Amino acid sequence: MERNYDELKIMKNVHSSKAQKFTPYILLTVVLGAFYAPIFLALQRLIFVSNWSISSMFDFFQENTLLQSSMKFSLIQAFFSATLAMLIGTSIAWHLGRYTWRNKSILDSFFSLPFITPSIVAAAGFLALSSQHGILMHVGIDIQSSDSFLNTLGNSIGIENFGRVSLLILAHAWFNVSLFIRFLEPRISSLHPHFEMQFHLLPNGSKTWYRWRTFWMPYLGGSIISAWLFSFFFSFTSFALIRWLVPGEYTLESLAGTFGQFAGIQGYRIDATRIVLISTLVQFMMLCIVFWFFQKQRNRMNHSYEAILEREHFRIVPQPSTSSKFLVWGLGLLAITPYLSILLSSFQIREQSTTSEFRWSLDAWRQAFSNDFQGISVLDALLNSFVYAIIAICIVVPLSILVSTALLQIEKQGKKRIADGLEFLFIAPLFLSAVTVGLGLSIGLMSLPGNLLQWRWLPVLPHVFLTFPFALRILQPAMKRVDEKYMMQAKLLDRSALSTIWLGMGVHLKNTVVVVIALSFAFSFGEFGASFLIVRFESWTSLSILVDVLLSRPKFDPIAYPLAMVVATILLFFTFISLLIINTFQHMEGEYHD
Amino acid sequence: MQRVLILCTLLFCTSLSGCLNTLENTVEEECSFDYKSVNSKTLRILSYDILAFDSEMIEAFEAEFGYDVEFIYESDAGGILNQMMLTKNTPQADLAIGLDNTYIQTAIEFCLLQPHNLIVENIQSHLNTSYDSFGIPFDYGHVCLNLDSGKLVENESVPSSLSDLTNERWADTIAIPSPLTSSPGRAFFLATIKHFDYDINKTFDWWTSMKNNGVILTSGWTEAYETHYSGGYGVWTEGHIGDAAVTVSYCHSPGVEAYFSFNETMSTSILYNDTSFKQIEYATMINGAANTAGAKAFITYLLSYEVNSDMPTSNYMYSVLENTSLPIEYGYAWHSTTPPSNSTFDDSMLVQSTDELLLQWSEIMMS
Amino acid sequence: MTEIILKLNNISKSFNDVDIIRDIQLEVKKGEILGLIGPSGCGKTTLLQIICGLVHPSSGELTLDDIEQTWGKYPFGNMTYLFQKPVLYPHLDVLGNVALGVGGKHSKKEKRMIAMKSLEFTSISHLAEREVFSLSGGEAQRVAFARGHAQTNDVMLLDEPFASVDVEQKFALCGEFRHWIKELKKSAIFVTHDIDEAKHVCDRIVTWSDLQSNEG
Repeated sequence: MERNYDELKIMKNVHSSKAQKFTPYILLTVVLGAFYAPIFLALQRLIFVSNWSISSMFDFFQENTLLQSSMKFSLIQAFFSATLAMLIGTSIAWHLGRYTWRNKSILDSFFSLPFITPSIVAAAGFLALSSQHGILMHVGIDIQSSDSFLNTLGNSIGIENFGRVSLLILAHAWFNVSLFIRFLEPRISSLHPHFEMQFHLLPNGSKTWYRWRTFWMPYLGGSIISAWLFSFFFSFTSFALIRWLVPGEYTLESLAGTFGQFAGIQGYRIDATRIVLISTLVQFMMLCIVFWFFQKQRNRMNHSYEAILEREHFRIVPQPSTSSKFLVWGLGLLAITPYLSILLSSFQIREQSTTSEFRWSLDAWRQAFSNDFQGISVLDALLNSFVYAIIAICIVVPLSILVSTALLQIEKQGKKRIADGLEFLFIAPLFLSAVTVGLGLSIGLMSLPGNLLQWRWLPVLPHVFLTFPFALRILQPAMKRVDEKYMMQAKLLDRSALSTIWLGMGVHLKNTVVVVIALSFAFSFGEFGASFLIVRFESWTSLSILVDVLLSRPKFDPIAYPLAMVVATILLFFTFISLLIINTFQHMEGEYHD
Repeated sequence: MQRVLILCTLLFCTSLSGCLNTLENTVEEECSFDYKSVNSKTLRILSYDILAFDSEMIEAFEAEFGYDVEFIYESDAGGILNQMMLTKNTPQADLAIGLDNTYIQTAIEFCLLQPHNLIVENIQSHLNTSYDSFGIPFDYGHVCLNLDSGKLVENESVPSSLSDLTNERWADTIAIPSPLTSSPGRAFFLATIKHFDYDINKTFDWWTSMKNNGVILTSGWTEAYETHYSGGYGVWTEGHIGDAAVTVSYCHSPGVEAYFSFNETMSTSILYNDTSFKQIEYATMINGAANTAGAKAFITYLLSYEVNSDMPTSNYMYSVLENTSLPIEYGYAWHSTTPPSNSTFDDSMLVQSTDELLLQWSEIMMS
Repeated sequence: MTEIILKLNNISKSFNDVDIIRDIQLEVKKGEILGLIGPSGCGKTTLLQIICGLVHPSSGELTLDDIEQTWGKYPFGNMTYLFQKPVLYPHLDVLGNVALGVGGKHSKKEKRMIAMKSLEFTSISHLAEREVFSLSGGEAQRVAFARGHAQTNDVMLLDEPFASVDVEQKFALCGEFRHWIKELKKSAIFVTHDIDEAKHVCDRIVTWSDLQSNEG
């Protein structure tokens, strides 16, 4: 029977719209599957090898003091780290947001560099800071000696190595202060002035505590909680800093990292498999619980002030007072002391192995560029780091654009809750931590056919895994902010498909994409935790792994430590370049949204 | 949102059910050896960061034998064994260097190694073991306790038995690498079994007493020696704590200390007569290795006089060759201690495997 | 004789050497609604903010109820101010926003009871539990007025309060505001650029140019 032409056209439209409707779901399912498959494979392998039931897991946890103490230490250090970051970061954000600062870009760099600093470099920096000829020692702060003030204080309250634990908390706080600044400063600086003026005109409006309780906390509370949550997660899943600053203490993450190399082998070292399995599961559950609890609080405080009065980006604000300048610049300079310590340490070589006297010398730099370490030179490791980062960017950026687009399409279909749920699943790898991802990939890939463990580009996978959630978190809100009418208008112009996409979306996102590229580069370039556990062919060694290798070498050779600092300095240099790019393009785009 | 959650839960439970599992049992009754002889110029070596393998040594091998050497690095001997276990069906390397006599038996049982069929002469006879057809020793050392003699008070004598270390005098001052994660720690664990005449119950009683006395367990030798031990070079390094007067290292470690500090050291070996363990490190060929010719060439090179006689100063371990000795410069030999020959560990005295014993140890020490 | 509640004497304000306000003399009687008309950007808002203490003048004096006011870090706290766009706080519902205007030592429950009375006064008690972002412009400005009612100040300063209200509601609001101010016996300065609004609401109208030439 001949169909009516019009009927055929209608059917085609119906079918193509159905195809369009399901395409985003298919894409997202495939990507999610690719992300989570190694984790599931690793998990099921660990469960099978451990030969356990759920009740056995509980019993093991209850009886194992190492696991319990690891969990306790994870919680305590993460809590205090996040809280310290909150106190410092909120204070800095307040002053930065309330006043006009000269050379603000320098201040921004001081505070945002720590966040993208590779964790192994941060560890090297704080080791150098607290060493015998480090800056802390020069100002009288001794965290090493057992009879130092900090350690004596710690002993009196029952905490061993209190100096080192304090250093760890400070290091984590240093890392995460920028989160508070990024979340809070834009809100503070762009708040419509009438909100504050009106509040001053109300009874008790002149009382500082009342203003903080009734006005500022509700306004900033949601952002503070978000930043605190992220700080908590990053501190909880920290690996390199725990490994180097508090040797002898374990968190769930470092426990999984230490025992991870023994895990997953049937009939051998069941203890290691069980420890890794439990620590990974407990960590994941704890993070989910903390996230759920605080997210509820945050959502309660998520109020749209912009719906009442629009933000003002160009208000006139006063110059900071002397005390504000002292505080902010002082903290800024303190923030860069670990970097200075790394740089200085690369030139300080002990006279011989049994003395703390040192000489200034370029020997470490010369040796770094002329020798091989484990068969790989610094330049080869640098090249590897670059290549991995570039490949990771080539995967992460288009993938995050595709996934963001798909999520937006689902939202436009009216299924916002599904879109939010799927977005959560993509962000969830942030809860998994680098070590878990590395374990998942190495154990999980072993379950698949083929010799994937010898695949030259295997090290890129954890970089993609860990960088993608950040990319999505930046790109997704930016894409949502692009007004639909630009795309509608672009479609109405007689242009090619690519040109239409560029006009309708691309031109509004180009700065964001540059920020995503720079951030992905920075994270990938310095990635350590997952790379630590992937099969390590010498020719695959990256700069961050090389730093760890050199730090691990016996230090009776006076040049061992400065060599590690040289490599850390090189890693730092490229991180700094990434930061410059991020800051330049981020200011063009607008503030970072939480 | 509900459907997404249900789907995720289903996937999660499926993975937990193990029904996706396709694992094979890795323990075999009889090994089949997959001999290959691929004509390859690339030799892959699975090892840890052996200090003797510097670029000069490797380049000399490559120049002499015409191979390109590529290393795969693990953290220590345990890591090497684990890597071989995990990749048994798809070996990643040709040669494994660094398995010691606490691990090699397991590697043989799991059919991870193949006989090397090499005859190497001039190896000291006391290093002959039942593993010889699978592994060729390339260095050795005696794991034992080291003490910072500077921590002894006036007229105090050195501890004379392991039981002394459970006294309050030594509370919180002994750092031992965990046998779960460290090969010297594992060796020391076996040494304690030997000390108690292979009586496992007495051995675990001692460890329990040590736990109650605040023993510091570390993840590896480096952390115990460099970070905690007050008698070694760690005192001058970054990150030093120095809360341990006693640690597990090698009986010749005081000699190494003296060598680097112009014949000065406070460190001394203790209890080596009956609480030491002769740790022998092996070069082994991996079952299924592609480049067996290259592997044999490397073993030959490693056991050459030019390379192996330098072990005391390149790798800080004893050479396996006859007619070699520790250097006398700076008191290296003088400060090093060699335990009596009858202190060697006897595997046949063990009723359970080392790993089974370690599982029990972990239950005691972590509860 | 009707008393003067608010008196401005030679109030001037300059910014970056530009005179925005020059020697303004102004008196407001008790119970009077004074309209101030001028073009946009002439300085009317700045004058209002000087009067309530939000902004410091370059020179001049201000007395409220014969008490000379001194400009400090914070506003005087004794005048109600309605912004052009009503400033309501989204973390509180309508009742909570009105309760912010209740001064003195009261428990939270008492404050909410007092606030409810203010909402009843302005006939919007049915909005008590609404989220503020769901209000129309007119509803929002009524809520702002209710908060001003809760504040019990004698003087109200209204800075173009109907600018963001749609035309249909505007004149209804004009009548309501005038009625409420009169019922409360407050004095008010009503700033606008719309003469019709001024005529609906005010007892007396002054132009900005008259003020600047000291004919207020």
